[in-house]
Amino acid sequence: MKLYSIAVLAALTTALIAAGGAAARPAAVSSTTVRVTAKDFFFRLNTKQVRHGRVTFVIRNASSALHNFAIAGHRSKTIGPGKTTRLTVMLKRGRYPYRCTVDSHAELGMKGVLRAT
Amino acid sequence: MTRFILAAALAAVASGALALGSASPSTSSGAPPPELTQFANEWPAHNLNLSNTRATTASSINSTNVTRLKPKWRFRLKGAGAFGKFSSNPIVLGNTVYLQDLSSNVYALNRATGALEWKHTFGRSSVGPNGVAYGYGKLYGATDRAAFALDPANGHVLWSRTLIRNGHEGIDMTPTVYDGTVLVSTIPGNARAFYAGNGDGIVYALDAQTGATKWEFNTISDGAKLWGNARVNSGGGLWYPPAIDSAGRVFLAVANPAPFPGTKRYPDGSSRPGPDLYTDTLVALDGSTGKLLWFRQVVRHDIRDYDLQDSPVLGTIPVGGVPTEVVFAAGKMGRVYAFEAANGQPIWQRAVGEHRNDLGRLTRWPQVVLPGELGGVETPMAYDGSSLYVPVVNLPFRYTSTSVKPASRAGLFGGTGELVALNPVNGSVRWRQRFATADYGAATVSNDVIFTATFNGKVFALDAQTGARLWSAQAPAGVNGFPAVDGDTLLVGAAAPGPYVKHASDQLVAYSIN
Repeated sequence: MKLYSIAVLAALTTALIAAGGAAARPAAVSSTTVRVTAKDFFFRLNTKQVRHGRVTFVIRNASSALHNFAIAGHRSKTIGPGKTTRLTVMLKRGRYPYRCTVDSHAELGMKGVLRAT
Repeated sequence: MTRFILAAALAAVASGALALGSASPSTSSGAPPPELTQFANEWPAHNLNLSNTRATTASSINSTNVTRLKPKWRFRLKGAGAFGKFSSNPIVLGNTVYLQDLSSNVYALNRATGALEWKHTFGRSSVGPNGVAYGYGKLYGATDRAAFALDPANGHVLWSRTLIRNGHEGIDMTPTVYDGTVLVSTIPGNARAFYAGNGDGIVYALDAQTGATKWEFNTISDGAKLWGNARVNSGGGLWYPPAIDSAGRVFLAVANPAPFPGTKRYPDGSSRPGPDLYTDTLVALDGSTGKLLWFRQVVRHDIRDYDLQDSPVLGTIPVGGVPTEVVFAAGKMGRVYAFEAANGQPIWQRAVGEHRNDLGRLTRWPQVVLPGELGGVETPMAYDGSSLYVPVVNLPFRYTSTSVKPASRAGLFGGTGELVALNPVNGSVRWRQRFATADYGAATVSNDVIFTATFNGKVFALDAQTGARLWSAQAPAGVNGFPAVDGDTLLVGAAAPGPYVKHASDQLVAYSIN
């Protein structure tokens, strides 16, 4: 019984250390924030390159029209002037075209390519 | 019978004769709602009347006093859409101005002061144009997904009908009201996504009292098949109110097919081989049944986004010495057409604005094209019986067989504008006035004065005979809405996107001569 308890305790301790370690260390998947400003009719990103992994786009609409932000098969909420929204996606290494899907905004210049390294 | 007509139509297309002869007379009377007659001296409909003439002689504004126009009141516009906050035409009946912003919200304002009487907040963003229509004691409009009727006294919803069939469709037009019927069309897109595939433009005739469907007409000739590739293709639908004539005929000006110019897999619109009927087509229907009477396609297999989207305008001109009812039509291809209303026979056509590489196939290498994707005749024309006034946008785009983008770094803001006056009998140019920026501001006639407005927020009054500038004013923001004239007042919605006006303030401005 005692022996069994010690074994259980040891297993629990190992599990807790593992869990604590995971919490203490940086996540295996990197997390990056990209600030996106939507204007009439172009995007301004604070970087053109990110580390692969989890990427959160913080999209601010600084124009007088509706805009959204679509990348890697995901699309943000469509937001009005002065509003901000977020879009989180997982990116592997590669090049990712992004665009505003509202009407002809992409053709007007609201598109580009983000590189994940 | 319908199948027979379609078969005959397709046979006619195959033989290159695109018009379909008149089938049978319409059984509709084409009667406007009583309010359009009662308030005819104001501005009771998007284009003033069911003929879409946008020309009034009931106003006191003319060439002798137009320089006295000054702001009388202003109303702040807030709800945004794909291209600013207002892309419509206010209407005026009795003591009230009604309007819709690009979030589909509807407002009733005091005509004398601009004070808000009520508003109905829908909060549904629209690509635009949109707007409201009045008839039979109700106010009609649409969000991006549903047509509705409001109580004009307080804005309460009386009925609402969802018309879109999937998330790839939307609505962006002002309805037309006649014979107890509300006409409204879906389009293949909305403010979140456009031309994503599987989107049809379908025209619905709704009972004005209940919203129940009386009939519908799919502007895609083979409906759900979408010219052979429903996953990729989409198209058709209306941007603006159709015209209704006294014989009860409904004239639809149908928008473009997509994708355009094409995708990498399907360059040059090859996912939709053939003419892609009824896109870029003037269609005449029996107003009581929706039965096809005739059609005339003006751009076959469009790959440049050349809609025939402008509201058709009805008039009468001599043809072979005989006064003949005609339909004037125009669109983003930068051409104006005149057809006989009875049978669609072409009378004349006239290119307006600048043209370059606008016909035939596109190439694999970039070519500058005029009119570009957002150019040509974008907004409503006006007709005063003497001339047809046509607002024009010269905005070049660079096309390949699979891509399109603005030709200059200025993008949407790199265009110029014109207002062109045409002789309605033969389409010859009477005068042409040029503007520094694009004219998305329609043409509006008050007696001998033509109003228009440009993307940089300049509002112009031109002499109807010569095109000379009589008056201009700087609006508080850019303009891609359409002026209305009511008595001594000019109403202009200024809420376009763009860099032109520093510290822009989006407003409906009432300019008055008194």
